[in-house]
Amino acid sequence: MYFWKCWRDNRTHFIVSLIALPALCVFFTVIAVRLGDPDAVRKGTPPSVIQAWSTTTEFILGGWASVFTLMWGLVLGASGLGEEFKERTADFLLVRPRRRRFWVWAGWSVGVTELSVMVFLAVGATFGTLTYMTGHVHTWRPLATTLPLAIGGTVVYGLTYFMTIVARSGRQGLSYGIGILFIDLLLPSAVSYYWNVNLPSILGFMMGACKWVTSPTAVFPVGGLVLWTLVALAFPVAAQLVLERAEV
Amino acid sequence: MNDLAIWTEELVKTYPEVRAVDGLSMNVPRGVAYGFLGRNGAGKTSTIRILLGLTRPTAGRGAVLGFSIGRDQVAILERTAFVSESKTLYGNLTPRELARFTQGFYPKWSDQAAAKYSRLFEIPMDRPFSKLSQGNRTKVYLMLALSQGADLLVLDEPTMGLDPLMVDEFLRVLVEDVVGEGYTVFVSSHHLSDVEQIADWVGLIDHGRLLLEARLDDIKSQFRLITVAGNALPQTLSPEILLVASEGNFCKYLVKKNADAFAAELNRQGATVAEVSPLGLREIFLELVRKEEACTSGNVGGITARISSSLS
Amino acid sequence: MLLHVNPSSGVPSYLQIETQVKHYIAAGALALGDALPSVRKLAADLRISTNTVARAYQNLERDGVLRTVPGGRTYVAENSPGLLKSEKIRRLRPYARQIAVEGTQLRLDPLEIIELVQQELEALEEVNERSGDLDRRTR
Repeated sequence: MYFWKCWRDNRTHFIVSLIALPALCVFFTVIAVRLGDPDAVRKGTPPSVIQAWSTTTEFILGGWASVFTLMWGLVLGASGLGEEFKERTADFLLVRPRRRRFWVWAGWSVGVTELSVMVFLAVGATFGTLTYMTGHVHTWRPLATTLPLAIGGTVVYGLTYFMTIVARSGRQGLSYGIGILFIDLLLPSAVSYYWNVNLPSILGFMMGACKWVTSPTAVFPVGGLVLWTLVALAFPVAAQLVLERAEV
Repeated sequence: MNDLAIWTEELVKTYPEVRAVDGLSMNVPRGVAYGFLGRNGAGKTSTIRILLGLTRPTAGRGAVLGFSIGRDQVAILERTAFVSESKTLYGNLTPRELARFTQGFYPKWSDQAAAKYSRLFEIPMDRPFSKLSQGNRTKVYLMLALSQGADLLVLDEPTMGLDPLMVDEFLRVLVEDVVGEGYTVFVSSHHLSDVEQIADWVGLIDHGRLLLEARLDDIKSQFRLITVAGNALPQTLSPEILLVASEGNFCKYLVKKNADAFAAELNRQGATVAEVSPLGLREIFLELVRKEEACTSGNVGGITARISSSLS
Repeated sequence: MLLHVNPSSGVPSYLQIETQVKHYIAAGALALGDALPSVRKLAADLRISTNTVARAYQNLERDGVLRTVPGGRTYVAENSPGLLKSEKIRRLRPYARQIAVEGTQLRLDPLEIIELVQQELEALEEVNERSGDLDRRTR
């Protein structure tokens, strides 16, 4: 029943985003194609088709949709378990007969599921539009971008979720999450600029994965995938450890 | 230990600046109503939170319904219903939805019971919790706890915000549907009169320790307050004396039993026994919890007042 | 039967119940063979613990005032068939002592005190007779 309750908490939010993101993706895709060479696209001329696809994946998915996903991950995480402490319902919840780790993983998995569904639909809508407009199915690669995008979102979601438990407040957790995300976005650029060292960045990973779709030479960022999956899982584990030791 | 609903041994809980629970050893038999009494800050809520696994004790051990606190906490929670002091639940859910939510955790949940108590307590089942009055919130909490099918009810201020009629209904429910069915009620409350009405046992806590744990019947039939004027005091202080204190020109003794014999002994020693009176719960509470002062006399010298720690 | 209990009096609740039941029997309001409410019902009505009521019933049964059948109902029994005279006297003595102490405290004559007790006994007998009459007339 806890799953149901978590769903209830996010229900409106989720449905709105579920409609908004794919719709916006479709919208921007249409614009991007139109801005290119519409005639060439309609005639199915390969270079312009490829151009259309790469624009879409790089800038719309890799850029815009990725950012949306990250932000949504933040907001979703803010309604995490930590908010229970703030609302003083932790008393009630933690006295239900379940181990504490159940609450962490149950809550987290609801968020991950919602996130994944949303990403999948957005990606599907985008490529559906492209396919329709160009009359051309590229490769299976596009749909594979669901995975890195979802993982990216999950990382940020998990981070915020964990922070709410540490801070015992949704709002505080959100602030910490935003702060850390910012650092992750800015720090690697600064470091690579000054010291030429390449630090992993979540947005970098998501964008890189999207570039891979249309580039014939790029390698799928498996290393990044593994790394960020581990990071994504590390957060609920950390959250479990914190909650198990928490004094209510 | 299995005939005890709750058992603790030298339970301690320290926070940075205070020892909230300070060596609490408690025995709550099964199938009774146990009144857990004490002032604000005496350690009642801390103790309850330890029993339910919300906080971990600094030292000591205990068991609830035969299961170890901490190690078998989930087993305890499966069989225990809790009404917390802060009666907050999810604001966006209605009582009906809250019942549905709670039901999922307890195989022994009873829909008939939930319906019965919702009707009895007149709960507006389809209004969001955030829009309910304090009294209604308490009633929702009570309804959820009573429908759970628990073996033990732990209640912290269960009558908060309830009007006298509802309090009466609630006490009736506790007596008939809980104690009457052989389950146990552990209630912590400031409302001494409510506790006095239904309790079989009382445990009085102050500064984190139990000052007294006895059957209410024994307290009424055997505990006596002996007021003495005079100079002679008995040479031996027996373990039946709970309290010795001075008050103006008088000295008073709170004894657990054999008050007549004790009074006779005092008489023989030359003291004038002014009164031997029985005590209600309120008087016991006040006597034991007030600061005691040294009781001195002319020819025996000062006797340090103390509260007897032997409670058996 | 209207029992009531005052939880904040100095007298234990179970004792109050016992006293009242005995009183009703002595006054003829409860006759031999009459059924008493079940422990749960009485406890619920009075809003006191079932353990208290159970204890009162048990004590009364031990004294021979009530008896419980295997089915679970409790009835008024033949009063104290099992008690020896000496035991009865022992039980009554504290009350006698209390009357003696109070009476002396109030500076009443011993004869006046005895007369008082006698009056009460006669009054009880009268009530008993009247309820007996009522029974005969309604049968």
